[in-house]
Amino acid sequence: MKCNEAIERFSEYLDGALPQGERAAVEAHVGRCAACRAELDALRRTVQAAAGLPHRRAPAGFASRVMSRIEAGETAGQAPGRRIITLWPRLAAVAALLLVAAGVSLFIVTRQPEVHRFALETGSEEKGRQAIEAPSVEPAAAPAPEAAAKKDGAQPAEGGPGVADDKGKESHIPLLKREKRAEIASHVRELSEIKGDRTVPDEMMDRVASGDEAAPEWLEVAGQAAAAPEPHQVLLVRSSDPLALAARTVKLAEVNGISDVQLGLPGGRGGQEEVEVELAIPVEKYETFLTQLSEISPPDSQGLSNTEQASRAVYFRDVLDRYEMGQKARYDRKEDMARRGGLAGGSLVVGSTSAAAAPSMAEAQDSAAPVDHEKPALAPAEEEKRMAAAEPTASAEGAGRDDKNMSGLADAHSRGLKPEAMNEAAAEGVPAGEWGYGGVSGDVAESPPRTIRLLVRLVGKEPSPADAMLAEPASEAGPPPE
Amino acid sequence: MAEAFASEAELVRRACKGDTEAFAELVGRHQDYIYNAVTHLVGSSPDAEDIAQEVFLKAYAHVKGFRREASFRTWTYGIMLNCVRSHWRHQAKRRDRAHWAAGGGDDPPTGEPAAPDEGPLENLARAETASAVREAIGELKEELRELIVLRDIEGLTYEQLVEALDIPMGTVKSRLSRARNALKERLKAEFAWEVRPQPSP
Repeated sequence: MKCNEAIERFSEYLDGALPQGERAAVEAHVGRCAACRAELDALRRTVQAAAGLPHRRAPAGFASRVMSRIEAGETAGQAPGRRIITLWPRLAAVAALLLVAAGVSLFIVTRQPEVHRFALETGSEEKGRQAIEAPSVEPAAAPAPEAAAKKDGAQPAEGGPGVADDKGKESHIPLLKREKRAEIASHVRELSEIKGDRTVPDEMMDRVASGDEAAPEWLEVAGQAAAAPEPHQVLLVRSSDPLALAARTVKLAEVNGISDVQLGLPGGRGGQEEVEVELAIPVEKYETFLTQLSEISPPDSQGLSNTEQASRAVYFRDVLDRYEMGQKARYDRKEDMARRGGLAGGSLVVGSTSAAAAPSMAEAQDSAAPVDHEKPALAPAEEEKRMAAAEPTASAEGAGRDDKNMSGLADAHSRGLKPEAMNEAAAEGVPAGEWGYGGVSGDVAESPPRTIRLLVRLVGKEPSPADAMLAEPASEAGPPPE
Repeated sequence: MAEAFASEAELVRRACKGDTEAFAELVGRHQDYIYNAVTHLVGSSPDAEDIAQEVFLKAYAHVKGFRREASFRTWTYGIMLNCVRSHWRHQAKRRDRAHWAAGGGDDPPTGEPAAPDEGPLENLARAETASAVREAIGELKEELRELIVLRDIEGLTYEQLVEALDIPMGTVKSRLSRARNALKERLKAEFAWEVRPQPSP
């Protein structure tokens, strides 16, 4: 048997699926061919690696959600449209609660954030009317998500809500049927009463409920989310009441004069509440904001104030994962950072700031420079890179041009965490002085950002399967089912 | 096993008559398999649960067409593949390269393995994590990814693969072999496996 004949049988060989004669021939071949033996070994390890992946369980409540859709008479194919309608009251509640507080444009990101972003124009009635009058949809006739799906030319099953924007041109889709408004308004009232939080004036709710033309018409598709800047930093906060914390975060932004606030509801992953607040915070305000945010968080929130799991919950999500390849180079120190933070998982980077993160960030910025970047700018960058590689502890200087941002951030992060965090850090073998979040990336451009885009993800207490996986990578390799 | 199968057949029989409780029991038994497979095929985006739900909605709608002699599990895998492929087709229209990397799924399928996107340092950093393996699987061409997920992760037999994928046995074997080798090449780089001569057995 020749090498190629043996190699093409390895897969079946590993499955024990070869007839006896071929099996013996394969074994004879690898017995005398070292290269094929190595290939077979690598293939065996590959199969084992895949088979050893932890199995994800369906999220809690999965079966009951399926059954409630079946019992509601839904047939396959209606799924996404129906889904967003059932989500909508909650989404509207959050949005309405925040209308006044924010006083700015809010965005609602549906569960397909890569595709759309729904703008909630609190002040723009004109746009609201445009939405109503958009010729391509029939707001009164059909639930908007379906209309959107139709417009997309896709099957509803695939379309998802508001998938209307293949060409990227602006379109306006009223998701909110007028007859739905009364229901939503009452839901908002109920919610705000429960929370003792009268941020939505009755008058406004009355107008919304009555379908007043002048009331804010909330939804329009505001282009594709892909065009939106990526956050520089992501905080994941677990809270028993993520919606309330989201409201406070937005208020805090208002107090600090931060006007660029976006609100997102990525969707009921695992049936949990999950809200995202994205803020563009001027660099000089960032420290203050983070400190205040940690102070207003309820004591049971994990990730900001109760830091029992801060190392898992608060992370710097990765820019690296999100940015272009060139910028990914700063991962080259990731193993170090991961080790310090006691983490092995993919995107969690916690537990080091100036010493480790700064040089790596410097490198990220360096590598972000386009290939055809002008020479004078590139040369010092490379020098910094070498310094960083040669002497990590000294190379904090490497981030020199970002000092203003970075050092402030590191401090902010450290202060944002309460003393227990330090203890936790120490317990995990992380020097307290170096405790903090991963840091912040540079902007996409070479120049340091003037504002930090912070994404605060607020999720319910129950960890989602995905998070659980992140927390305990690989070690819990369950057996394959049956 | 025989008892469980009998009971499953009974549940299917009742579900055919519109017994939603029986179907709920079927969902409960199979939801983890389906959800796990979907997340490995499309990434653990919020879409994953939607797709998994869709699988069972379709299964319910078509349960009368289920051949009793087949395994309900294999049958639902077949439905799942349809749902996932439909999702892929849709996503293909609006690819977002960054999305998969951000954990969302829907990587643009790369026709060939080992798109050398990432430097060796990064590979090192990701070594020996489940996420690295998942990512490597996610980078496989979709038809190859299906084989890895169904055979090596979900543990289907060759016969079940023939049924779920609706392709001939020879194709199952050759495609599985291609899939494993493509994954092997990615993981070699990822884990810096030394391909050194093994001692003779």
